[in-house]
Amino acid sequence: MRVEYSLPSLQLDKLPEPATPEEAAISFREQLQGLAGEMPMDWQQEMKLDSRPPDATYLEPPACPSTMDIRDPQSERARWRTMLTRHGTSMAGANRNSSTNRHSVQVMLDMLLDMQQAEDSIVSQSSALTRG
Amino acid sequence: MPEMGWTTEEIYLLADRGYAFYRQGCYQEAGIIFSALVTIDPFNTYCRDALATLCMLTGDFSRAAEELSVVLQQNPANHTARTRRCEAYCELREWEKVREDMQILRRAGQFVERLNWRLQAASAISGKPS
Repeated sequence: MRVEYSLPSLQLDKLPEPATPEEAAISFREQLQGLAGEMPMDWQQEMKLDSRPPDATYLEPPACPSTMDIRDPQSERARWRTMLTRHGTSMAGANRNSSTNRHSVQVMLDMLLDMQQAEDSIVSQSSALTRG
Repeated sequence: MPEMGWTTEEIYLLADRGYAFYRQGCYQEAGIIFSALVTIDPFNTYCRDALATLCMLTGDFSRAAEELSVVLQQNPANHTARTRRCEAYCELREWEKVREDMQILRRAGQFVERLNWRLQAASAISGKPS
C-alpha cells in the first residue's frame, strides 16, 4: 500500500506568486503589526462573554502601588515583618478600649502577630531538625 | 487617604494578605483584615468593596448593603458595587430597593439578567406584579 505524505496545499507548484516590489519593501515588523490590527474580534469577545459579569461574591486582587516592587519575596517578607513590628508595638502602647475603630485594628494586628509567631516557630523547628 | 502612621504600601500588603485569605476560603480572617483596613483608610473603595463581599459570603447581608451604600455615596457610577448591593437587598428581601437599583443599572446598560430572574421569582412567590 502506498501512503501519500504530501499535502496538496503545500506542493511546490502551488506556492503563491512572489511579492511585488512594493510589498517586498514592507518590513516584517510592519507586516506583523498590520496583521494584529486586522485581527477579527472573537464572537465571545464581541458579546462580552469573556468578561465576568459582576457577581456578589467575586473579588479581584488589589492593585499594587506603582512605587512598590513585589518581585523579590525576601524583601517583601522583611517589609511585612517590619510593618507588623512597628504597628504591633505602637498599638500595644495605646489604650485598647479607646474606640471601636481602634479595636478592629488591634484585633487584626493580634491575629497577624499570632500567625507570624506560629510561622516563625515552624521555621525554627524545621531548621533545627535539618541541622540534626 | 490612609490614617496617620500607615503608608499606601502597608495598606496594599494587608489588602493582599486579606485577598489571599479570601482565595483560600478563610473568610473570617479576611473579614478581620478588611474591617481594620476600612477603619485605617475609610475612602479606600477596594477595601470597602472587599469587606462587603466577605459580609455576603458570611451571611451578613445588612452590613454588606451598608458598606456598599458608602461606596456608592463616594461614586454612584460604580456599577459593580450597585449590582452587589442589589444582591444583598435580594437576600434581605427588600424588593423596592432592588427595583430602584435595577432601574439605575438598566439605564446604564449593565448586565442584570440574574437579578431580573430573582426579582421575577420573588414576584411570583409574593403574588405581586414585577
